[in-house]
Amino acid sequence: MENTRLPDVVRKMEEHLSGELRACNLRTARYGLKLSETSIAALARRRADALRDAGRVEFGESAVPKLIEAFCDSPYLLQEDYERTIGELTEAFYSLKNDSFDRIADDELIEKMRACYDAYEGCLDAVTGLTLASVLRGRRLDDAEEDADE
Amino acid sequence: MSDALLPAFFERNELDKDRREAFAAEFLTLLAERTGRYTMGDSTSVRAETAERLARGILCCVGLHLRSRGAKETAERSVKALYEAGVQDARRQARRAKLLLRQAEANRPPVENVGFSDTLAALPAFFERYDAAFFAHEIPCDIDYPLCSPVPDELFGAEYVAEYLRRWNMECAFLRRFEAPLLSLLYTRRFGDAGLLVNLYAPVAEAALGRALSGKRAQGLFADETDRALIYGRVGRASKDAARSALLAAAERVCGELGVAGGRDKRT
Repeated sequence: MENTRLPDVVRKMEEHLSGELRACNLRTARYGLKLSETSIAALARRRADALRDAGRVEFGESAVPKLIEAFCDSPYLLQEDYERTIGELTEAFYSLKNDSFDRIADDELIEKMRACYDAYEGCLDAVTGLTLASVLRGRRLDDAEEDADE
Repeated sequence: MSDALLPAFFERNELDKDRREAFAAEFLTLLAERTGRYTMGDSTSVRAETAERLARGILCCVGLHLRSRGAKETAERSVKALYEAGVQDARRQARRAKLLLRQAEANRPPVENVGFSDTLAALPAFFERYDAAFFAHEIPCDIDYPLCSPVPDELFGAEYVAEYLRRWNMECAFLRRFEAPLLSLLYTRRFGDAGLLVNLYAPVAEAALGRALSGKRAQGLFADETDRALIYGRVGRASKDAARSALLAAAERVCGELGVAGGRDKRT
């Protein structure tokens, strides 16, 4: 399908993400967090790079607004680090999705990342250094409890 | 992505630019929808390999439906409609293949090799694992046995398996005309101990054809020096056209003698 307007579709997807990020600004304003147009464009590019590096494809809604939604009320997330933090979380997120062979739902993974971020007082290295074993640790416990309940 | 899965009208550039662009955009929208369904909303992203598998599944269904209905439908129907009709076609092909498998299981040849038995044992798994809605192009089982006349490369998934089994049954119908000891002797002489994964039909068909060319009954299978001289005279020394005519006439005689035609067993 090389003679088609595929780049247009890809560009539309990027525009869609930018729209989603602008909408996030309305919700994060109360936490003193706002992405400028430059930051929005940079995050859109970084997300595309992260997907490419992780060998993943994303259609429709992006995980980036979900990350923003989940992290925006953290006391450790400050405006001066906002764009960089979301960028690094995005990279870590896609990488962990790969490590888990897609067995962890987005929401569950984001929840674990947020718990780790708060536990290490906003240390991004702790989140980006999360291993699959540590992400799954609590899950196994939950599974065992569920099994015991049954 | 393999070009073999792209609908023929794309390969042949039959669509104008606008329609090609519309097809691509509709295809991507459908791919996004199918990806969401595949992840059941748990994930916004999938691995590129998974996206490619999903894309190939869609193209397989679209191609399958277009082959059955003709490319004119593309002008009238959306990619999603073509895909959904293709899923039904793929399921129909799977049902057809299942019937052909039952036929294959009921009509086994007198002599089998490892490739034959293993493939026949593996094929039921195809129907348990085949997923026409997501991965219609895939064949989730091991098919090792080589047919004499392989299935064309443009067929995928259930359509491939149905065609594979149709050809399989034709070959088996032929083999069932011969006595097991005679077949075993032929295979031993031809392959020795190396016949685990070879086609069982081809050497028998060749031998039967040779017998017919030498004017003898095909069921005897083996040719002597006199037969070989006769065969050489009728084919080896003849012109290309004459040799072809002789081969076709001999093939007709073999089929007539054995009572096989068009893959059907005339005796049953």
